[in-house]
Formats: sequence, C-alpha cells, structure tokens
Amino acid sequence: MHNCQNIKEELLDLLFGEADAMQTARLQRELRFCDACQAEYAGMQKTFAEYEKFSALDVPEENYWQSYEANLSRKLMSVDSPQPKKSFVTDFFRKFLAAQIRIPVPVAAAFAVLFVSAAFLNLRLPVEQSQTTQTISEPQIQIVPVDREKIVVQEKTIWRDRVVTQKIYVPQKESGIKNPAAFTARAKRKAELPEAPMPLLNLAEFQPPTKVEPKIVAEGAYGGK
Amino acid sequence: MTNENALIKKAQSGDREAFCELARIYGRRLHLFALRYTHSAADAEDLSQEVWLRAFKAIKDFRGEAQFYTWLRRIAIRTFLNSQRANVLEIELNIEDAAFELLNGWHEDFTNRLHDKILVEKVRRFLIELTPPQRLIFLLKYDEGMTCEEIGKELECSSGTVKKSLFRSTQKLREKFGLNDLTEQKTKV
Repeated sequence: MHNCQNIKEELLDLLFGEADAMQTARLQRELRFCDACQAEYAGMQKTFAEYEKFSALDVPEENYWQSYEANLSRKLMSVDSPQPKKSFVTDFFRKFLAAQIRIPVPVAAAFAVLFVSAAFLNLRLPVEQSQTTQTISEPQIQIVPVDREKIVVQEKTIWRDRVVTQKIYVPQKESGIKNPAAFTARAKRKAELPEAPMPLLNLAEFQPPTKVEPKIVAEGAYGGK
Repeated sequence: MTNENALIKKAQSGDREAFCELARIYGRRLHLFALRYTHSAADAEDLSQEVWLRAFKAIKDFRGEAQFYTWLRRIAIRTFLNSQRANVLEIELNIEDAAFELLNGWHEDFTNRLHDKILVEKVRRFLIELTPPQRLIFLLKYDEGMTCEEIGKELECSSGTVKKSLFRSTQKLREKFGLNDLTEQKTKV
C-alpha cells in the first residue's frame, strides 16, 4: 500500500545514497507510479544542488585564510607542551585513586554512624584488652604490706574471661623477706596445698614453776668472771 | 608510512612544527565547519582554535584507528555542543546590504553575482533559524557527508532521530528556496 508520507521520509536515504539495493529498487518503483513523491524527490535534489552551490560560494577569501592560519600557528606555538603519556600502571592507579562511587545519602549516613561508633568503642576497648592480655601471658604476684602484723600476697590469675584475685595473708615473722621470688614461690605452693591442721596443746595441767634455780653453765663468757 | 602518518608520529613525540603542519592541512576545512555553525568569524576562530588546542593536548591518545580528520571532527562536535556561542546568532549581512554592495561596484555578470549573494544569504538565514543540534546534524550530513548512523553515534541518538531532523531541515530549506511550489503544482496537476 503506497503511503506518500513514509516514502517522503525514505527519499533522503535515496538522495544521499544510504539506501541498500532492495530499498533503492522499491523507492524507484514507488516514484514511477506517484507524481507527488516524484515532485518531492525532484525538490530534494534541487535543494541539495542549491546547497552545493552555496557551499562553493560561501568560502572566505585567501587573505582571510592567511590571517587565520598565522593566528592559529602563533597560538599553537605559544601553548605549553602536553604532559608525557603515563604508563598503563600509573594511569590505572591514577584512575583508581580518582574513581568515585555514588551511594545514596541514607546509606552514606549509616556508614558514617557505624564508623563513628566503631571509633568510639575502639577508644575504650584497648585498656581492657591490654590488661587481659597481660594477665594471660604472665600472671603477676604482688606483695602488698597491709599492716604491721601481716603482709598480703596478692595473686591475679585469669579464669575463662575473668580476672581472679587471690589474697594470701602471711604472718609478720615471715615478712623478713630477702628473696621475694623464693618467697612468692613458697607462698604460692602454700596457697595451693591444703593447710595441715595445727596440733592442739592441752594446757589444763600446766603449772608454772614456783622457784627458779639458776645454774652457771660456763664461766668467763661475755668477758666477766 | 604516508606523509600524514609521519606527521602524526612526530607530533605525538612532541614535535610542535609537525602538529602545525597538520593544522595547516585540515585547518581550513575545520574552520569552515565552525564558520557555518556559529555564523560569526570571531566565534568560529575562537571555536576552531579551541578544537586545535584540545587536539594538541590529546594527540598522544590518537591511536590511528580512524582517520585523523574523523578524530579531529569528533573533538570539534564535542566542543561545538559544549559551546554556547551558537545559541544566539546575529545576521552580519542581509540581502539588502549585499545588493547595495554590488550596486556600488559595477560588474559585468552583475545578475549572476546578485543571484549568488541572495542564495548565500538565504542559506545563512536558514542555518540561523535552526536549533544548534539541528544545525549540527544538517552540517554533518550536507557538508561533512557523514551517514545518519555515524551522526547518531557521534550525537548519541538514534539514526531515526537524525533522519527526522534532516527531513524537517531539508523541508525548511526548500521553503527558503521557494521549491515547495513545484510540488504543490505537480500535485494539483
């Protein structure tokens, strides 16, 4: 079915030689039988011819070109040389570092909140963690004098995730410690072993002596006679 | 290796003279394209110089996959579309001025010259009346001889859109030339 409007739009393909062999044959057949399309095509050809004429006429004079070319050369000679071409690796990293990722504002806000929370928690955690790791690696025993009667051996150990502090009370007479390491080892052993019950003394029949008879064991001691 | 390829290689290695030689080869063609697009000698000079400067900076990226002028024209199309120069055009000459100019300097083929002047002014007026994208499509087709598909690729639109734009522009130009009367007469007959 012949449709003038459709044919007219296709005539440009014919005019500029962009129609394939089949399209060319079909359009030529349509033109043979339709005067309106034929006139349209003739009008297009004439328009194109007139434009070609215009193209040849609308060209500046030679002196215009000379001036233009001189200006262009001057401009090109004055401009800075382009930067040397970067290698593939440099170019890749440059592009990678300059790459931008677009994310929606709510997602970005959520990330920002997470980051700030993590940073805040990180400020608090290291203190606790450092204590724990210290305790795990080498339990420390501290000797803390409590009063004049007793000294205290304080032992910290870790049990599961908790720090257990054990205090060992030692009588004052044993506090003349010369070798703390030996003492603490002894204290530890003592703490580990079950304490043996002390034998009870029966003092019911005890009577102090009524008279004292001193005896000279040796003479001349302490330089006297 | 052709002379042009040798010039391109030299220009890529930083030879400024070689690049200037390339500018001398293609300078006029490119400038004429800019002149018809902007319809102003000053704007066309600025625009074509900008294209050459961009080409100078990017010459190292030219890999020779297309012709040098095709590559250069691609830069020109981008520059033209980004430029605002073509949005407001002023008619520097009009037909009356052209006739007056001719009458002052008597010439043997006065009628022919007047006819040519009128033709040039008609086409210039027609080009001014088109929108910048329409004008670019028209010039790429009529002056540069690109196919509708090539134009579509360069302007990032379909070849159908290019054909429609070309059809409308051609119709307008026919009206300027007074060639629509022929069709009407033929249809009536």
